[in-house]
Amino acid sequence: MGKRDILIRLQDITFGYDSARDVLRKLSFTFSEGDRVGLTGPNGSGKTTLFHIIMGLLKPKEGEIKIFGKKMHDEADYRGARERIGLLFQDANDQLFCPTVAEDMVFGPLNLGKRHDDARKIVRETLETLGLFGFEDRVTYKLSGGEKKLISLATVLAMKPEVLLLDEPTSGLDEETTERIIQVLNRSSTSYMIISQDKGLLAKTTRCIYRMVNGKLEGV
Amino acid sequence: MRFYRDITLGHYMPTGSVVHRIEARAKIIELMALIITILLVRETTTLATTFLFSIWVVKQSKLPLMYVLRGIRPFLWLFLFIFFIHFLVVPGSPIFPLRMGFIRMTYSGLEEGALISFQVALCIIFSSVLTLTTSPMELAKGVFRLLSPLRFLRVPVDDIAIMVMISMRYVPLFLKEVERVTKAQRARGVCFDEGGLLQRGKMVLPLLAPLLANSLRKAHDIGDALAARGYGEGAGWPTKGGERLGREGCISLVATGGVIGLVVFFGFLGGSF
Repeated sequence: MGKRDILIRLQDITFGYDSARDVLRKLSFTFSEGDRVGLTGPNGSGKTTLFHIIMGLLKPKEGEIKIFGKKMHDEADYRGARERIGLLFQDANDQLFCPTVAEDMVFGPLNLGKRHDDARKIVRETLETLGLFGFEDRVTYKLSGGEKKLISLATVLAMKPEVLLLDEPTSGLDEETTERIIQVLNRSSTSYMIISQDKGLLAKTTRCIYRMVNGKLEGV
Repeated sequence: MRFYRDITLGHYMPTGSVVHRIEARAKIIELMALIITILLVRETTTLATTFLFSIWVVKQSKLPLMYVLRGIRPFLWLFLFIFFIHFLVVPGSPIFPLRMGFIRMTYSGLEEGALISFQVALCIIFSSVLTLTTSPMELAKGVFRLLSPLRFLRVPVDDIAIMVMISMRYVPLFLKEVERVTKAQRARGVCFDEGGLLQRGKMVLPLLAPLLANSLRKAHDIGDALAARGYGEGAGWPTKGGERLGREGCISLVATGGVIGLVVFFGFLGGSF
């Protein structure tokens, strides 16, 4: 196997929501092209926080972040990184902020500078990949929990990211929908990290699993 | 606590009617013009005509009339407040000889209170028709296109438009949240339908804290979601510009302009202005 590019490198990251307790303590982690990583750990251990730090939605107190070989300093740096990293939120209601599925799905591609026609084409293709025909005009807040989760994943995939950060992608889903997501991930050529408490899901979709313990990642 | 189920403002109900097809810009301009006219007119007959016009618009929208009118019910407290403030404060010939400082009950206050409550109700009906017949995305695009010239003055038109869209999108979710929190409190013994006005008011207070906290958390999460999807400074509102008003838009503008013209004309005759 040839040398793989490092996509994300975190060095000695420390972060806390308040000064009393740090959630992440001197955390270091490297994520390379082709990696399929599972993250597990107790509730409140900082798994989601880690994703938000990678996306630049939270700023660490200390440490260095390099994404696609570039050191992250300010919002402009992160904006470029977000165009190449797709984040699936834990709560699908946070992800879907447009009235209809199609409008929500074109939002990302249009922000990436795609033309309307091209964005619509991407939407059709992505929905087809996920087996979600006829969902374009559905009202997002009227979808079921499972449908919302799938559409949320579709909105992220529509941006054709190089890295996927999936926060509890199957929580609250039935077996059939979970299996569908597993198939989608296994078919995908994208590098990804998954936060999940579902050991079965991680076993089927990832190559290595880390556990968040005391603000650091430990191999399982 | 069923009031939130009656709120029509912020909901979208696609029926495929001609009113739904009218371009959002035209509907926004018409709503603004109608609200200004309604608030300026001080004459009952003219306002009654405007009310009949609102019913005609609802019929053309193929919306259930009772559903739209029920949308006024949650604002009853507002009408009562407006009515009593005017009833008790406006000077004029007294109904009762009683007077406590600036508080008195006058015929003019009675008339004024009823008139202004009616004006506000009309504004709510027309606003409901706008949101019921225009999808939040179309509404946001309409706002964006109307405000576009202000971009030269560095007004953040994109952000305003997206705020409109997201606010509209989250009205039904917010109402669901109210229902969820209410149910959670009911399950623990709170009864919202018992007691006097003051007691009911006290029971509503514990609802506000979780609702406010959840709304702020939601607002923060949506901000993150927007950023994660590439929206930010310089990203721009992802919509095409320069679309035409269309035949329906032009006809509706002329029709509404005609009605407003008549209202203003009769308002002049009736001494409203």
